Formats: sequence, C-alpha cells, structure tokens
Amino acid sequence: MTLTKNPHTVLGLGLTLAGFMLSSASYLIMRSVPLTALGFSTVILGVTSLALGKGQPSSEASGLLQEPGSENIAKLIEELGLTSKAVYLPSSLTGGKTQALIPLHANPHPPKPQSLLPKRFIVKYGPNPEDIGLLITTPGSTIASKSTSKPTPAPADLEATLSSVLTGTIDLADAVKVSTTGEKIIVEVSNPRLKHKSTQAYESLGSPLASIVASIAAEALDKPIIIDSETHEKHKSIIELKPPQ
Amino acid sequence: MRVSERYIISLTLIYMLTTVTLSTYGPSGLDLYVSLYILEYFILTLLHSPFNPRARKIIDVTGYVLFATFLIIVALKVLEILIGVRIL
Repeated sequence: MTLTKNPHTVLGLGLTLAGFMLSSASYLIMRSVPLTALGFSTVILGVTSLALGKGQPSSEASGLLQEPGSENIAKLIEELGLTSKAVYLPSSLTGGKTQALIPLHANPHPPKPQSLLPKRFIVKYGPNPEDIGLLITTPGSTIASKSTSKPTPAPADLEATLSSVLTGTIDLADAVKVSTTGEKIIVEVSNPRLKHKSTQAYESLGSPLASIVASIAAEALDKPIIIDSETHEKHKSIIELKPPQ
Repeated sequence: MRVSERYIISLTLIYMLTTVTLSTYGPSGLDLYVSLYILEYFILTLLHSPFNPRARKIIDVTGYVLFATFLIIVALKVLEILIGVRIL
C-alpha cells in the first residue's frame, strides 16, 4: 500500500482520526471546551498534513523517467565533442518553449540570435557558415513553460518565480535568493535536493538545477542567457547567469 | 528543513500556544478557539506559500471549509446579539 510510504500521509490520517474522536468525545461526553478545541485543531493539522503528503512529488519515479532523456543528451554532447556553453533562449526566439542552443563550433563569443529560430534540432542561428548549433529541450524548458505567471526582469519578481517553482511546484530547494551585479544575475539556492555530477554535458548545459534557473531567467528577461558559473557547497548552490557578450 | 515541514511545525506550535493560553486565562467559548485557529491557519498558509499544485488544491478546499465555519460563527454571534439567546 503506497499510503504508508509517505510520512505526511500517515501523520495526517492519524491526526485526523484522533482529532475527530477527541473533539467528539470531549464535546458530547466530557463537555470540555479546551479539549474539544484541541481535537478541532488536531483535525486541521491532520488535513493539512494529508494535503502536504499528497503534494509531494515522487522523486524516485520522476528521477527514473528523467534519466534516459538526460543520458541521451549527455551522450550526444560527449560524442559530438561539444565544449561551448549552452545559450538559453526565451520562447520569443524559439517559437515554443525556452530551449538551449549549443553551438557546434567553439567560439569565443557565444551566439546571440536576434530573430525567431526554426523549430528544428539542428539550426542555423547566424549569417556565417559556422553559425550552426543544436537546439535542445532541457528539464528547465518544461518547467519554465509550466510556470503560471510570466515573471518580469526585476530581481524581486524573478526571485518570487524561482521560489514558486523550486520550493513550491517541484520542491527541489528550501529557498532562493536573487541579486544582480551589473549584467550578472546571482541566484543562491539553499538546500538543493538535486545531486551534482561533473560531466561534459553539465559543463555545456549546466547542472539540472542551473538549467531550470537559466530557463526561467531567460524567459523573464526575454533575452538569451548563459550560465557563467555555478558553485555547489554542502547546503547551498550559487549560480551566476549573464547575457552572452 | 523543508517548507512543508516548517509549515506543519509552525501550525502545531501556534495551535498548542493558543489552546494553552486560552484555557489558562479564564473560560472561553469554543467559537473563540475556532476563530483563532482559522485566523492562524490563513496567516501561516500565506506565509509558507507557494505549495505544490496538488497540495494547494486540498489546502484551498480546507481554507474554504474553515472560512465557511468562521462565517457561521459570526452569523451565530450576530443572531445572539439580536435575539439575546446563546446558540453555541
């Protein structure tokens, strides 16, 4: 039975049942107002706990479903020997959802597409013959497209949207802070629950957490964004984003 | 600590504090306890939002039920003042 696997659900069921019995017995038999109130508050706690248990995503299942796609992208990047940093493009440049563009040729200047790109896997993003790249969908693309509100470029709004997604919708972190220094956007994620692996694919695309943050930021600023750097500490990840120069 | 855990712990502590305080300082009616619980529920829910969409649905429904309970308590109090008979 899956119910017993979630501690919130077990706690919720127990509290609701106990609270209901306590309030009924206290009101009908003992005629005690404080005990009836205690039972009522226990029922509220129980229902709230049940709700929180229902909302917890199954990280094992989602991890299993996400893994093959991520592995395929990682293999593709490694086999093609792509070393350039991915540029996260807003939906206004891809015509659909936020996507990552990985240039096929290493270039000191990351691409800055100005017009709508074709909806293809291999795209030409500039006038030069070497301006070709892979346009791929990342975990962040899906999450950014599911975000209910369209954030504005203000750091406070971006912070609110990132908090809503990372601590609410997908519950991958405890808190998010956003600050800006010049053109750089510094995102501090407290207690991230995604493990960081150092692979060639991550060097290009960024970690899944950084990918989610970059996708949402690209959509909010409505301009291309690259992951400048990311630092992972025990209880904190710091992701620095900037527009391509 | 996850937001959901912090929310449940905060709710538990504030309910415990309310129950102990009200039961210590003189006899209070059930309506006062329930009204305070409902108020605290809304404040803490707002402070710990946003939640996962699936959790939010149930939390919203609980909020509607609690708000309806609060309205009934207010209506009964108004009737009590108008008619002069204690109903609850």
